[in-house]
Amino acid sequence: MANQTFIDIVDPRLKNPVQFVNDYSVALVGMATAGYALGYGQALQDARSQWRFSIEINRLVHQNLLRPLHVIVEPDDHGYVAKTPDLPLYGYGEDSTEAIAMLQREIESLYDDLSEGNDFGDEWAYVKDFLAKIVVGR
Amino acid sequence: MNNANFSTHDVKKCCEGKLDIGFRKKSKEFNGWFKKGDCKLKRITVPKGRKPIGKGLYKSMASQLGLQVADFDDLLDCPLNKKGYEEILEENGVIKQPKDNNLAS
Repeated sequence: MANQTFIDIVDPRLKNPVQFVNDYSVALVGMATAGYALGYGQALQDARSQWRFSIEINRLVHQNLLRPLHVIVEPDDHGYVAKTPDLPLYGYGEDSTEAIAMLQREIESLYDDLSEGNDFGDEWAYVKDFLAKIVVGR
Repeated sequence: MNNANFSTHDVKKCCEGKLDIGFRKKSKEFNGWFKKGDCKLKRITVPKGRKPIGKGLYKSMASQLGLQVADFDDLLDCPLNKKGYEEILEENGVIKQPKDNNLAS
């Protein structure tokens, strides 16, 4: 019960670590020591689950990109998921670096697949065209 | 969402058995295409091993198959079979029915 009260005070939709520290500090001032001890680990875990960051990638495993791809990395229950809004792909890993590396492999793999022929459904025509414009060999 | 009930290995086995997806081990993860005839419609990637599946990963795999999470649950559990999956893709316009040119007079 004390744990839930502590979580209610801290906004579960926090996306900003600075915001978390500000809110968390405010919450600590208002909480009893026992509540703080019970809520600290859970709050950090919940806050971590709300954190996500975005980066841009300029290269794949063996090829480069003519323009950067926007990648969003989010924590998952057992690792991290990396996605780009431009493609129906994801990368997964135990840490964010691994997730991003998998996404890079996936983009390159999809590019190779779509380059092999034209026996794809309609939705892939756009993806193929998109990748053809941005992927370039090293 | 039944992500806690399955591992990545379970997802791979289900896709192979129910959807006839042939996974390739080209890199550090498995990926394969769902085909209707000779046409490749959906591409799914499954991480290797028997890892537990978090919500984000579960949703990502469902999304790659063009399924809502509830439908993905059904696919992995039992109720949804290949025919049911194809019907969902037809409803979403991914599989297009050939036009019937033989109109009744």
